[in-house]
Amino acid sequence: MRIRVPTLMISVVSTVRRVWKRRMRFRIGLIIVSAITLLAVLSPFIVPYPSEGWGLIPLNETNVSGQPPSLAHLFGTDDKGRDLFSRVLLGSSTALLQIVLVVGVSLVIGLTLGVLAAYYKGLVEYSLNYLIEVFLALPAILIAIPLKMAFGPGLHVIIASMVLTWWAWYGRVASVYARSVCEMDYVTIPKLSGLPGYKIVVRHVLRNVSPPVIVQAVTDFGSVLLEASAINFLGFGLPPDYPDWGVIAQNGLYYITKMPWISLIPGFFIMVTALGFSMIGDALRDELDPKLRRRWRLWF
Amino acid sequence: MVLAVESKGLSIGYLDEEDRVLWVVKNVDMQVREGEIYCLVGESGCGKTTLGSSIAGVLPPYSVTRGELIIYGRRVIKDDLRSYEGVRGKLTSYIPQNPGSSLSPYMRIWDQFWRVLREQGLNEKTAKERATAILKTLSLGQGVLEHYPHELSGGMLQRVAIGLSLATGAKVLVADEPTSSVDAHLKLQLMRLFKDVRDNYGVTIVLITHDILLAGKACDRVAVMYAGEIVEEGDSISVLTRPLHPYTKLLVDVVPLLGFKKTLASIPGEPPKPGLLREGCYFYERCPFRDEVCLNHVETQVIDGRRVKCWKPLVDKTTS
Repeated sequence: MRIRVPTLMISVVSTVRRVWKRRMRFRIGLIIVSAITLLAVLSPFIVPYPSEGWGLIPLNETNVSGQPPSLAHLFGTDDKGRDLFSRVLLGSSTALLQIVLVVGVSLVIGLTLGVLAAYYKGLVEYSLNYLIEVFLALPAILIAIPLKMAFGPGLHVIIASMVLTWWAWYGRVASVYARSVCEMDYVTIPKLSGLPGYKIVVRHVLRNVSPPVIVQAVTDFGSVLLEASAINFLGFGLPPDYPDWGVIAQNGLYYITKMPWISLIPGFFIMVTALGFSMIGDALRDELDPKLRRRWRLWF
Repeated sequence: MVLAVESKGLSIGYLDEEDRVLWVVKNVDMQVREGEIYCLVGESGCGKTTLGSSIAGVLPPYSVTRGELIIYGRRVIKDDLRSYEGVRGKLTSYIPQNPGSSLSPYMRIWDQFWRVLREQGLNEKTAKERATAILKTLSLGQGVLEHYPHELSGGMLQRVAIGLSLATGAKVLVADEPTSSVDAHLKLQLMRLFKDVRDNYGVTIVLITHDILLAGKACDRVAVMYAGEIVEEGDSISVLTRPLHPYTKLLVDVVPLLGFKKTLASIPGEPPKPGLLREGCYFYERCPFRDEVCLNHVETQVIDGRRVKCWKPLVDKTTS
C-alpha cells in the first residue's frame, strides 16, 4: 500500500534528495547545519557549566576570568570567569530559536497577507501592498530600539522587531506568485461558481503559493542569523548576560586585544552557521530556478 | 424531444468602467436537444464563450443578463435574476480550454476526483471504483489517479478534465475550445472521445470552437455566431455544405483544404465592437451580398429546418 504523505512534504523531500545528489555546496551546508542543530538540541544535556552558560558569574571570578582555551575550559573563559564553551553551546540553541521563530512567524504572516492581497484585489490589494512597502522600508534595528525601551530587553524584542520587517519580503513574494495562481482556471472557475473565498484561498491558492515561498524562506535562514546577531551585538535585543553569539561577541569587544577568543569564537560560529545556511540556500536557488544557474561552476 | 438547454431572447453583457453595458450576446434563441453534440462556432470575440459560460453557470458577477435561459426545465436566468443552485456542477459542467491551468498542480488526479465524488455522498472505496470506471471509458488506466498533473501529457490531461466533468454526473457538458491547444491527430481523437462519451453516458455536449472543420465532423447541430447573435443554426452537414447566411458561406470559404486547389478567401473588415446595439444586420459592413434594406431590416427565417437570421438568405445560390 502506498503511504500517503502530504504533497508539500513530497516535493520538499524529493527536492532535497535531488539537490543532495547534485550539489557539493548543499552537502557541505547541510552537514554544517545538521551539526549545529545537533549541538543546539543536545546543549542542555551536555553543557559543562549550565549556570555559567546562562550568565551567572562564578564565585571564584577573579581566579578564572580571562583564561585562554584549555582542557578544563575548551573555549577559555570570559572576562567575568564564565566558561565560554557552555555559553557558546547554549548560544547555538538561541541562534536556531531566533531563526525558526523569525522565519516561521514572518512566513505565516507574509503568506497570509500576500495571498489575500492577490486574491481580493481592489482596496484590500492596494492597502496590503502599501503596508508591505512601508515595512520593507523599515530597518529591524529601528524597530528594536523603541521596543527595547518600552518592554525591556529579551527574546521578544529581537523576534518582534525582525518579524515586523521580514514578513514584508514573504508578503511580496507570496503576492507575486499568488497573482499568477489566481489567474488559473482552478481558481477562477470555483470563484465564478460561488465557492466561498476562504475555501478557494486555503484549498488552491495557498497550496500552490507555499512551496516557492517556503524555499525562499529557507534560503533566508543565514541572513536572519546575521541580522539577529548584529542587533544583539549592538545591544538592542537580548540582555547582556544572555547566551547568544552576538551578545557574547559584544561582551568580549573591550578585551579584544587581551582576550581575543571571547569575541572570535562566537563570531566564528556565527560565520560558519550563516555560511552553512547560505550554501544550502544558494544550492536550492540554483537548482530550483534554472534561469539563475551560472554558466560556469565553482569547484563545489 | 427533450430540450436540454433553451434560451429565449437571451442577452448577456458586461459592465464597463463607466457602468455602461457592453452587450456580448444579443437576443439569442437557442434550443439544444438532449443527447446531441451542439456546436457554437464563430470568430474570436463573437460571444461563444460567454454563451457557454452562461450555460455552465460561470458568468462573472459584473455581467448583466436579459431574457431567459432554461436548463432541463429549470429557469436559471430570468432577466436580472440568476440562480444556478442545483444546476451548476449537478446538471451542467464545464470543460475548460486549457486543462494544464484547470487542474490544481499540487493535487494528485485522485484527490481532484475525490473532491468531486465526495460531494455526491460516495465513500472512498466506491469513489475510487467510479473514478477508475470513468477513466477506463476515456482510455486511461487506474495508475493515472496516483499522478500529479505535470506528469501527464496534454492529451491525457484533457481526458482527465473530461473525466472530472463526467464525475459530477452532469447531463450537459460545456466544452470551451477543448481542441485549441492540441495537434491535429489529437483533435480527431478528442472528437471521437466526445462522441463516445455522448453515446456511453447519454450526456448533451455544447462544444465551443472556432474550428469549422471540427464542427462539421463531430457535431450533430451547429450554431454559427456573429457579433453576439446566432446567425444560422441547423444540422451541421447542411449548414456547412450549403450555407444560407452570407457569413457562414464566407466562414466556410476561408477554410484551407489539403489537396484541393482553392482560392483562399478572407472576410474583409472587422466585426463590430461589443456593446453596439442597433437595428438591421450586424454583418452589413462586411457582407458581399448586402442591400440597402439590410441596414435597417433583419428577419429570422426557417428554411429546411434551419434557422437563418437574414432576410435574403443564399437559397438560390447554394441549393440550386
